[in-house]
Amino acid sequence: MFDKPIGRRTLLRGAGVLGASLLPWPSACGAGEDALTFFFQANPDEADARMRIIEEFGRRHPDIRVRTVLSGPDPMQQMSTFCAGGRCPDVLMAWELTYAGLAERGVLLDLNTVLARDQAFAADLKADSIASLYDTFTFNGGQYAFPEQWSGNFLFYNKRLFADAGLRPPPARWEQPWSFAEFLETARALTKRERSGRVTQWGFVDTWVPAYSAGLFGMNNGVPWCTPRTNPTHFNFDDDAFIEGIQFYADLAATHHVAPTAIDAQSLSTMDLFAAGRAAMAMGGHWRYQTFVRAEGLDFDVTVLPAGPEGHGAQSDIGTTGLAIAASSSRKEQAWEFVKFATGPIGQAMIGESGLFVPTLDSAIHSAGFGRAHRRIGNLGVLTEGPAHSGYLPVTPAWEKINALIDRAFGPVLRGTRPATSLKTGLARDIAQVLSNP
Amino acid sequence: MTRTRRRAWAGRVFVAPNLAALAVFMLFPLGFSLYMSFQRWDLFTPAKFVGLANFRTLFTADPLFLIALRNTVVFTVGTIVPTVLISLVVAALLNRKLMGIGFFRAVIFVPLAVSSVVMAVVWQFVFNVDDGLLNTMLGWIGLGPVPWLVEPGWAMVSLCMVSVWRSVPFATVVLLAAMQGVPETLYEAAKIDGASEWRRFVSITVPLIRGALSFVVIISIINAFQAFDLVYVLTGGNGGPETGTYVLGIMLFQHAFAFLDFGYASALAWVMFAILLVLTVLQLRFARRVSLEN
Amino acid sequence: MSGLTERVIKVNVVRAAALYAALIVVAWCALFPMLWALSGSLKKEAGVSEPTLLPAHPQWSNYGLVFALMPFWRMLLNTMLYAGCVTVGQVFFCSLAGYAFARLPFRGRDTLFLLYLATLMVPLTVTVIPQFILMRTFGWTDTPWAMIIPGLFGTYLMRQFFLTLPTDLEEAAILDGCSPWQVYWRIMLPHTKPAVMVLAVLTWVNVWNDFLWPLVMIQRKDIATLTLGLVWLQGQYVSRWPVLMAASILILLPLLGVYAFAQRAFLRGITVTGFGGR
Repeated sequence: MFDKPIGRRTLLRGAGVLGASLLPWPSACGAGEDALTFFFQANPDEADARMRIIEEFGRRHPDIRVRTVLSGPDPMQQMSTFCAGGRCPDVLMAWELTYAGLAERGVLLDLNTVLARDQAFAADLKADSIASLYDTFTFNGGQYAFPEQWSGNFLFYNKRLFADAGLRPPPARWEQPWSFAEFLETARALTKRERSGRVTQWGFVDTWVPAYSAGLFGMNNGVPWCTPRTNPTHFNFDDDAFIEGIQFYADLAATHHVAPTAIDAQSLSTMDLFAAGRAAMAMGGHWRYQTFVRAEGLDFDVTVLPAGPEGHGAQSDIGTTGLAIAASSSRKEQAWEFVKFATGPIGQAMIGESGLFVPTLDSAIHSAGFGRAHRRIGNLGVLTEGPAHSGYLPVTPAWEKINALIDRAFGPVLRGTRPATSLKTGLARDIAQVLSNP
Repeated sequence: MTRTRRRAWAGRVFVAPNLAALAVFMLFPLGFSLYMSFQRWDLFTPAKFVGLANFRTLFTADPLFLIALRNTVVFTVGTIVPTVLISLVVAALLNRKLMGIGFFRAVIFVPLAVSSVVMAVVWQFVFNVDDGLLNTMLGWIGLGPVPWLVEPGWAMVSLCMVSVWRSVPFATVVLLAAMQGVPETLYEAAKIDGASEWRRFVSITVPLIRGALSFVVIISIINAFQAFDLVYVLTGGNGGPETGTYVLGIMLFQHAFAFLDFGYASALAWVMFAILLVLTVLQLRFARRVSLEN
Repeated sequence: MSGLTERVIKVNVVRAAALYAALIVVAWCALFPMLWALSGSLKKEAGVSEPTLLPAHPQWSNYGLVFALMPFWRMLLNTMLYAGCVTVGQVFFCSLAGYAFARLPFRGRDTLFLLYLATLMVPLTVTVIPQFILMRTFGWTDTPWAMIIPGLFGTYLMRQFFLTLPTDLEEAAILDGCSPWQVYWRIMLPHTKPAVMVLAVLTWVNVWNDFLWPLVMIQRKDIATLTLGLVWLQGQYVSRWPVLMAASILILLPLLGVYAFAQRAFLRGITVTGFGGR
């Protein structure tokens, strides 16, 4: 009379699932409680390179075990969740733009205290480091991370497209840059359209963050982002020369149409365009190198950014990530050994050889291994001299708020609906307000 | 025990496991976040009590709150209305014994099963201004390219489109299940009485799936109001371009994990909760009144 | 054949054609992003964004790369076990509670139900941290236990479905002397098979695709889920998009299988009975 219930078989299956679920897992308590945790963000290739460093470290320090914790899309959220929950990782990857907020709150260990006890390493580090990169992580007198890789921006260019258009190859050294005008000319010559107006080849694409790239052009017009570098009191959005650089960048897409509409950063399409040979120049950093190397039929090289009329020579940006130690770590000695290794000469040499990063120690950058990993690059000087020819990005705990303001204000400017001079009144004022009440 | 008392006792026992899970896993987090809304906490240093300061700032000194509220309302309405309408139609379409209907029923399930990571990449390509699928298709019928994710207004439209695409399968699956519970005999009787298909749909189907319909509406409103995942992967964590997609969920995340102002974020979360609670109570009352009238 | 019959047949054919056309449009809207992802997974890394649907030289090797870059089978097993446990638990406990909320009157029932709904209204963003702290207090972080936490929205869904069932069914059973448990297990539950199926499938999909919770709770690779694997395939700036697309297709396939299975298991043999022509 009544329908059959859900079915004994289904229920048993469910119970079986529950039971079986308990079997294949190793002990329910987190094994490896005594391992050093290392938190970083990386795609599989980069994670691989890091694993090699960890293995090498394990060989030299068999008593120290390292456990990796990979980050998702938002490292800050993960990190703060772990730390707020009392499980801060011991070794943390630090980013130049966001570490200051953590340093100010005492989350990161001041490495100067440890360096004081390890004079030998301190001396080596001082001799071999590139000052501008090292100083990036100096904040309020303390040293909160050691730089691990240089991720400054430069230009990739397609050699074949240049040759087809009969253009001379672009400059090979930061000391002898090309001008904004020359750059624009080149981009114009390399932009091709169909009769219908649709573009089949772009002269220039940006694979970085449009707002930051615009700022980089402003920097190359002779004006830094802010003054002073650390804990800035003033951003130069009200400086005419800086604005001129920003306007030049915006005009590339909006007025001269040599670049596609500036949409969101890390958009797959701009990188793809260059890799597929549909863009002649691409602005980006070393992190794009592997993708372009793997692209079939892409014959590329690198060149420097153009310098503006008010600029003195060309610059890249001091983009860098580093390794820091959590102040609350209970394994500080072990963490120190690991950080020393990874940012020291051996670890940096390994990084250089992997071809995935540009190392931050002089010895590693100019090593044969680094050269071998970049055999396809003719203008190696762009990479090896890059860190020494870089301008700084702001280092401030208030970066997130300022970044949000920048992102919002740059939108209409990059689309061409508002001139860059509008930043002088809007953005400059908003930033001043944020800086005055932290 | 009398029958009613036995049923009441059974009721409590049946609810007990769920209640226990709620008490253990939700009570502490809810209490914690409520407590934090009266503090200033940056997640790393000890929290400091600030009383109602967070709420005061939120309501009087933060112009972005009103913007976020307005955007969230627009997004919610722009998601719910199309979702409910479309899913009613689609569920009605799928509620037939056509050949191969099983295939279509499986297909409608796909958007629900897609992870947000993939969705973001795919839709960014669809919305690409120069080369994207949508602008290409618009080009075939002679319309100019639309700046989908580039302009603030259009960005909100794009967001609603993806949100509807994401929500329709969920609503359809629920409504279809409800429709399949409507007895055939009712339709047959109505057909004999000469009622048209549309008439049958409006007078029989819709009233009888009222419960599922109100469920879909309420849950969709709750989800759309708190929407964060979708917006974050599609237009970034800043609600860009400008403040075009700056919804409450984004504002919440930004304050909690970017600005490290967890107290302020908690205050915002509870304001959102209050708004949703009022909305839901009103809807439940309305639903009950409608069912009583029937 | 008379003219009338011809006309009726023609109308039916036109109707059927129109229905199929509408269904195809709906199917296309639902499918095109995944079709695009499928085609993307077969492309080489450069040229992923080109609008060609089928590449000239499909790179099936991308699928092989997925298995090389992440412990797919282990993660599949983990995800299935988590999803299975949560689904079974949810379906059982939530349908039980849903029935109680719909049909068993007890004091405070409606306020309690509102409390349930209320827990859905506090955004996840602010509850993640205290839940992490909770898990840590129990010692469950980075263990399978943290993944098996019952969700609560299922109760609402089941209640709504139970509410729509006619009361005669129950009354007949009660008159026959069945206990509340028997009424639930033998009568109410079988009649809400579609709802149970929906709940089971939705729960399964939710657990399968959830990435924030595993991201925060799990650090060991051997208990990680598929979505975590997907997230870890992405880097800071660069991902190998075709491989990512291939991975997402591979993650989607088991879900389709689950849905097909659920459809057959739950909807087979469901007879929608009339209720005495009332």
